[in-house]
Amino acid sequence: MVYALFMILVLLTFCAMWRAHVLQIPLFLLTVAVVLLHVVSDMTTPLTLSF
Amino acid sequence: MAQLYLLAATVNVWVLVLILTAAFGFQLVAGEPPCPLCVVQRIALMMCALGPLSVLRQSRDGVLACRDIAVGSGIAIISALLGAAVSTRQVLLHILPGDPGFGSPFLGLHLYTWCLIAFVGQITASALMLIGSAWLKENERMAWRMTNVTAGAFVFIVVANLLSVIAEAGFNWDLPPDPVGYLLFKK
Repeated sequence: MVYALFMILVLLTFCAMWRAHVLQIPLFLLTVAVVLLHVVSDMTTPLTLSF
Repeated sequence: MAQLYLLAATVNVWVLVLILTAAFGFQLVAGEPPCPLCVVQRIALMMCALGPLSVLRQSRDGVLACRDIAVGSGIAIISALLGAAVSTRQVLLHILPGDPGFGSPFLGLHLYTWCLIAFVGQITASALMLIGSAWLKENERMAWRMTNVTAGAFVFIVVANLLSVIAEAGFNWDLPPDPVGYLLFKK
């Protein structure tokens, strides 16, 4: 489900972008931050996400 | 010059959509559901497309400014860096001699290796677009008809991946490390 949430965030960012909403850049940065946090948490724990 | 930019942004989005479609097709045809790192790489590819799409969005108003290209290229570069970090991690996980890698190779390389190449290519393309913006005339007026079709293709492939990952994860928070099927349809 976590990946579905990331994709929903991408869609929300796209919608904000399409409507030239003021939240487009904050939403993009939020998406980057949560995906990055997820990847970093994977990299700093024993192999969980992979292979 | 503005028309050339819009053509480049459109081609950029379509290349990313085609990569995502190919990965999705590979998943369906080869019967290999993507692993968690593969899904994160797909998400990074989607985020890369947001950059050129923001440039295309601005063109709907009939005017393209250097600021729009700077924002779009920045979005694409940040996303590609994120994706490159993930695909590099997956390449390194399988770098030991004798490791067969994850999934079937395509043209001799695994999909995560192709992804790394795609992310490096995206960074290069966005950097070239940034350099080229030096020759853009401010507030040059133009018309571009491909914007809605391109955006529609992007939304379609994102929604398809969204449904696929929901089917794959079922009601679990995370995907299994080595997925073999779609948990939503298993009893």
